[in-house]
Amino acid sequence: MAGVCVFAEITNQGVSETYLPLVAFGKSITDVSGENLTTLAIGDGAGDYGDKLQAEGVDEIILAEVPGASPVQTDILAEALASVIREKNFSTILVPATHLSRSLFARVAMKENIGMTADCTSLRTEKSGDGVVVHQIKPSFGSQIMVRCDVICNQEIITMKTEDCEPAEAGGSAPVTVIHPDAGASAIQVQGFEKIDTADSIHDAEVVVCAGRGAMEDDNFEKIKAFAAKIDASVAGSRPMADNGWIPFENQVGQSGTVIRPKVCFTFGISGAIQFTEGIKGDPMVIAVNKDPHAAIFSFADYAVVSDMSSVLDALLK
Amino acid sequence: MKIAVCVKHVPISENVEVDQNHRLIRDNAESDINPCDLNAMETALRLKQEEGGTIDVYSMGPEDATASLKKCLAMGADQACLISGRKFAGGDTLGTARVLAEAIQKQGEYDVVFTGSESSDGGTGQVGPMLAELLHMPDVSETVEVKAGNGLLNVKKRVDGGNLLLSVKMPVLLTVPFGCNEPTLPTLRTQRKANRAEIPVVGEDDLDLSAETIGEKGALSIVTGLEAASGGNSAEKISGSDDEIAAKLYELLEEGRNR
Repeated sequence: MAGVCVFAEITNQGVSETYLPLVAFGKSITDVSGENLTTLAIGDGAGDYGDKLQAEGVDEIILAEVPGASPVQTDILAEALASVIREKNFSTILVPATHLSRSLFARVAMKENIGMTADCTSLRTEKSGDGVVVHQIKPSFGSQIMVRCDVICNQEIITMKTEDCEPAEAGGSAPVTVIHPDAGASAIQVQGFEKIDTADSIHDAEVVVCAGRGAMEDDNFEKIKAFAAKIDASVAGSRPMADNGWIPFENQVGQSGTVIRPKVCFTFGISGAIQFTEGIKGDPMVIAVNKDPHAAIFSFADYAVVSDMSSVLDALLK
Repeated sequence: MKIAVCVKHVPISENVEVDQNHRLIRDNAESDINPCDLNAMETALRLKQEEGGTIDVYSMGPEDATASLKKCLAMGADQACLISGRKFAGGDTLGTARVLAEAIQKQGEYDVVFTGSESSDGGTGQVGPMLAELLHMPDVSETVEVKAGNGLLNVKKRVDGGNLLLSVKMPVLLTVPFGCNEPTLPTLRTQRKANRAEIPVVGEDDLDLSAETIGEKGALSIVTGLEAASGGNSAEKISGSDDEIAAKLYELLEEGRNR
């Protein structure tokens, strides 16, 4: 039997917080398929992580020790990972949807010709013939809909967004194997690190005011900024606002931007495409202002103001 | 230095439609060059300015994609190439990378290949690293600055809290994130000149690829249906005069803050 693999991302801060949610996703597959669940980690010092990676549902932990390797050396790490995956012949490989892991596994997918699906938010495993099919659910471009993807070969790599998933329980006593894959020399060498102090982050803000395409008209965005200043909130926006240079990239909320967890979130002129709403987590109170009564944002928000934002903002600024 | 830049022509409106196969209907969608591809183009131009050499720009897509290629020519690219064919359509990231790799290898050898970090429509971020794998190059994603020196490239890679400083052997593929530099957009004069350029087209018959590995036929990850989005509630409507609405919003703000 092929087995399901969960990739444990290890950075210089230790085990990524994506790991336990990813194990929970993995267990949701093995509960149906009856396969083994294997945790796989790679890197310099990976061999020391046997205890830290124990988790409910994990049957086996494989640690690929590559002395001196940096996580950015994807040229050699991909080759080492591919050799393990080839040997173990995993059916499904779950990977966190981080920048680091997605580039690494894109290389693995190409090496091994494994179908790869990106940025899934949930999985649904069904029996199919002798085996199972793992339906991969992800937001679709441009609207408030989710699509179901399937991989039609016998191996798949799925990158998962883990923000919404209950983590698996840590602990257990799965057997640990440390391996030493032949990695070779990387063309990439790390020379140093330059720290950048990020300005006030919208990530931790208690109240966030989000501006969308509708705010690009007249002086609406000026008014939104004034309102945010008045209530001591952070200003953020949707992708079109960032693409057009109205807000810095770091302040773009959404699937491809920053995830926020405020207590209260105002949206002005935001249509509510799922790429945007995927960036709002933690069940805040959402108050949406949009002149289109059919805007998708109203099926996401708690409170709806169907009105032109300009006059509402004028009243808010009085 | 020989530089290649791969760009994608993407729909810029969020209100796009999908067909019965859940693929984007691209015909009606207003499209433009993928935003971070402009940052990739700018990074390439700065490298060319320092080191000399040429920039060839590639795009796989329908004929409309020539508009994005012409924008790159107007910014300072030396040559452009459209990769277009019915058999290329409907592919997944593996198929797209194979077509790009074959077209690029056919033109010659490059020292540096740039792509944007991800497209604004698909957003997988996979094509760059997959292309690097096929071109037998290392790749650095999230590259925000590049300088050549001592036969190597010194690359700044954006990570949490700062930039990693890397030295990389060439040839290499670099992916560039949105917003890391200020692209020098074309002037009216350069754009006009670029608009008159003949863009050569590389088609299915020009590339030595098995039809089973590209396009819809070769796609391994496919969309099989739609799912209801979670959290489909209906919001409580707030109405009244603007002042009444404002008063209610301040009430809600207090309530939400104290939750």
